[in-house]
Amino acid sequence: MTWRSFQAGALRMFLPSFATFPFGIGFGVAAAQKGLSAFEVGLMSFTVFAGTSQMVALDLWTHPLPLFALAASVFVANLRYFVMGAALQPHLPSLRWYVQPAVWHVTVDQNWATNIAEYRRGHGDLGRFLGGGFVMVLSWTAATLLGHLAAGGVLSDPTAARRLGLDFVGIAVFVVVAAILFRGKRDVASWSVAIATALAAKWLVGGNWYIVIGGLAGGLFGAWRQTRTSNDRKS
Amino acid sequence: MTASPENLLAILMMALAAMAAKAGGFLAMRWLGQHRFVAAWLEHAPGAVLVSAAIVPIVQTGGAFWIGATAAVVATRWAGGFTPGLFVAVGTVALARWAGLS
Repeated sequence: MTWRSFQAGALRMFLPSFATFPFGIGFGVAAAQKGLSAFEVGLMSFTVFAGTSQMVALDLWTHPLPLFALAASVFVANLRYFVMGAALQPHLPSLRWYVQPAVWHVTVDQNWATNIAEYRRGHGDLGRFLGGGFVMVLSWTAATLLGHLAAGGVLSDPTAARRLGLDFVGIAVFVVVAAILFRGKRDVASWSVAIATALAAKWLVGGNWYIVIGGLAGGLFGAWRQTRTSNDRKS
Repeated sequence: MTASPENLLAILMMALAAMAAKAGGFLAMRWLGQHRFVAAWLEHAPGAVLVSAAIVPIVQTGGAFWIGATAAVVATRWAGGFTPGLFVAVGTVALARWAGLS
């Protein structure tokens, strides 16, 4: 890892980082509508640095804040990073302990995808990975702050935001990412279980626990079905 | 620069939870290896979380959100990407509201 490779990684991710702006601005607007200050929005974006889970957390953001539900939903919503980290680890087996938190922090979709491809071809570089992540975290934080600033203007009127469809931004992110992840028949059963359980949880439990309950139920059902099918094939 | 202690505590817990998820796979590889059920659960959980988070507000709000969600799926699958899907979804909801849907 060198300063030059860090710069090269940062430069390479500069243009892709702009892709975070529509979502970041949407998150900033939604966070402002929930009453978060610009400092809180910037701090959350810089330290959590996981857009979908931040949007999920906003759904739960009612005072008194349900701290356990917030942490649990952020953890579950970020489980894909668990898989990405697992795929990355064999390429960085002797990473020093004090560098590891920085690597984990910048393990996000685009930065991970760009770098894991290089690691698999045998010419990955930690400097490029960290440099790319540095640009991504800065642009994500800037985008959410821009959204927060915009919410102080014309978007501060809830009826104007509603007329412009901005109350749908958060839900749209979930739908769009789900549409990208959808793998056809393999996902139909587990997603149906998740949807049914989430609706039942909303009706029976109330509050916003439906995200965690539906997510866990759908994930566990999908895993059970997948492992049972592969066991049947073996026997 | 304003911040409430309760909000700061929530942000700290969220940051730790995000870090735990990101670090978890990296660290777990040493112990779990390739355990089949864990790998299968990790494969299915993200999508299940997303549809759970989306379905309740869509059902509760009704018309405009249903049309917006349908447009989002179509645009994302056909135009192939996050940004077009997001813009089409929000634009469709705005048009639906203009047409008088809730």
